[in-house]
Amino acid sequence: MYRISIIIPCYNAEKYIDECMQSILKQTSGLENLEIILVDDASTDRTPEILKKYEQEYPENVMLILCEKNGRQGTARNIGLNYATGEYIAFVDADDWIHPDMFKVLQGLLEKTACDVIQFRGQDRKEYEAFKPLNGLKCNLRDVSGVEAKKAMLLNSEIWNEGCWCKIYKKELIDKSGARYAEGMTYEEPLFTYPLKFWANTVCNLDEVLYYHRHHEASVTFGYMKDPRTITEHLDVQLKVLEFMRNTEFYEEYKDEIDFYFLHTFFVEPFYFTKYRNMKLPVTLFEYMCDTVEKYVPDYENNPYFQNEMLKEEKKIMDLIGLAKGLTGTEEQKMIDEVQNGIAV
Amino acid sequence: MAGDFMKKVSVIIPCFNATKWLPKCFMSLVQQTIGIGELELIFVNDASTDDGATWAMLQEFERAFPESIIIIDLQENRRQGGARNEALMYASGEYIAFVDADDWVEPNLYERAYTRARETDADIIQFNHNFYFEQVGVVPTKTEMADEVIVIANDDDRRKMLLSEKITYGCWNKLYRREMVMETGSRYAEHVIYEEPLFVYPLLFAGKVYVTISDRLYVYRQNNMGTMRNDMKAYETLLQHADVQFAVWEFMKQTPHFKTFYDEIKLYFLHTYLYEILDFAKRRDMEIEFKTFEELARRAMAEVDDIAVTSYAGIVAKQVQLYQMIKDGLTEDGLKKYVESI
Repeated sequence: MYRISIIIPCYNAEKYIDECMQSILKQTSGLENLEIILVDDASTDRTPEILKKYEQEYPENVMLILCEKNGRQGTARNIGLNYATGEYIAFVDADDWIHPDMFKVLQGLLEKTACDVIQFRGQDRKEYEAFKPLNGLKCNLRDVSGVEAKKAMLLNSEIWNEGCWCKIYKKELIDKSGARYAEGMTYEEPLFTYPLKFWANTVCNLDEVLYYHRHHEASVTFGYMKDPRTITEHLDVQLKVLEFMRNTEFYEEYKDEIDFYFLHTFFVEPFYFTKYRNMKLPVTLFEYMCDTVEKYVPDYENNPYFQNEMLKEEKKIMDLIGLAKGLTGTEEQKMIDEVQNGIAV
Repeated sequence: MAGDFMKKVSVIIPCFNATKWLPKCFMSLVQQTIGIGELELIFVNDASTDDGATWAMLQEFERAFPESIIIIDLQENRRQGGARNEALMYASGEYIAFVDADDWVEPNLYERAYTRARETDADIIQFNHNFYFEQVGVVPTKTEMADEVIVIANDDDRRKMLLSEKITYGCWNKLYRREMVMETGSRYAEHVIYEEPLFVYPLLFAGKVYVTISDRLYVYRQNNMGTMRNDMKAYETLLQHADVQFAVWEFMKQTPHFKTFYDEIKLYFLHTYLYEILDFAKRRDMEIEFKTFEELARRAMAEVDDIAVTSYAGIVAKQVQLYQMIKDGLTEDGLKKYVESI
């Protein structure tokens, strides 16, 4: 049995935190090897009181950290990481819940494989409902220590995606890499999950739904999805990922893969994000994106991954950098709009 | 950081057959003391019908300041509201402002307003203005505006602010924090006049800090041409006003603020949807058809809980008289007498 730390960042979670906690406290594995680290991110509702009750009721298993200032999920998870004593780490969001057998299953797999990461599946649900029994526990153990295997894994989100809560991570892996979440911003996960791929030697994929993500009705007309900061913060995080990776021993061997990941997430994805949310990509933002790509990846045109037929649409978007030269702001905006219109969502 | 590329203010200027006064407006914008480099000017040609003259002028503007000007050419006329909405999709500055094409602004408008906004962390900053009459020149408006910082620390603070109406419902006397506008999702009503409240009103619920300054920084041209005067004679605009206020009500219904501030939102709705129609009509020597007003009253009654009940009866006694009349059953004679009394 391994000691597992479960880190839960909490902000104004009074409505859903009980369902989350109950699903953990009722784990069929029992609580003996579980350490639940609750980080209250300066909530302004009754969350702190609710969390205190859990800490009082389960002093052996629950640790509560109260933040004085709100730092958003990334900061809260990082704080949790600093206190975690487990050999493996899992992350759960305060408004989600997990399958009652989740840790029994994970412990079983860890016993067998002692792998660096297990990635399992999650499901969107509108509200709390009975979960389905597990079936067969099909899992796939991969050795990703070799260069070719690693390269294949880097581009395959089926093996390892950028989300943080459908995985369990060996603490040693996190410590070796020094990876941490981006702080004070949204889309903070890639800065943590992407670098870990490089230090990992073994990954286990479990084709089983163990995690339930509460789906909030995001309005089409307003709400945080329309906040332009979600785009600019996404850009900032992806630039941080690139800078992080460039300072590691892996950049030499995996330059094409790391650059491609950056170009795809930093330059191409915003076109899709804004299209999906019925927003425009303003030319001033576009120019910042172009300038940054030219500064950090001046040889972007030679990246082998964009030659792939499957990425034709992405290449078209990358080509805009060159096409934009010499155009007025208005002409550039027109060009951006045309490309955005052509994207199918 | 991605956020650093933002200009300080995005200024949106809808243009329809605007060549007569647009040059003065344009000059006042590019000569801003804050520096044209800190501004993003977005001119929107609202499908002008002057054989391309307005669009040609916008293209000249853009050639003069390509780093700071974006021009948009609409294929279909959408009036000021639609033109502003289109530009909003492209605005990327920290704050947003609106200027009408036949007005102009004082040279220090954006320097003063932006600096004050940053000092106070304002979500909206509102300034005062002057009028311009061809015959007499610049004339101060009778409106006084205090130098004030309204901080919303709780719901009651907001109620107080809403009732005070210190923040007006017009759009061009303000700077708005762009992120707040985008998150709120408020937009102008399109194809109509009196389009501004649909944009401004929801923003009164989104901000934490509202600032007013007494400086007269905008010059509003009063003339016999242009949108307002001609249309003021048109009966149709009364109904457009009602439609827009209904749209405001519908918008607020889908927000979490509707429950919290029901009394205040209902007060605003009934006042602007029913009372103001009669008031506007009377001031312009128009009379609203009884059947039309009856229909508005019926709709209003269907929307609210009890039309004649409000916790603010003390300050809107005249209006409550109208609502009570509607509740009891509106008669043509009763309505006539009421209108005479206001």
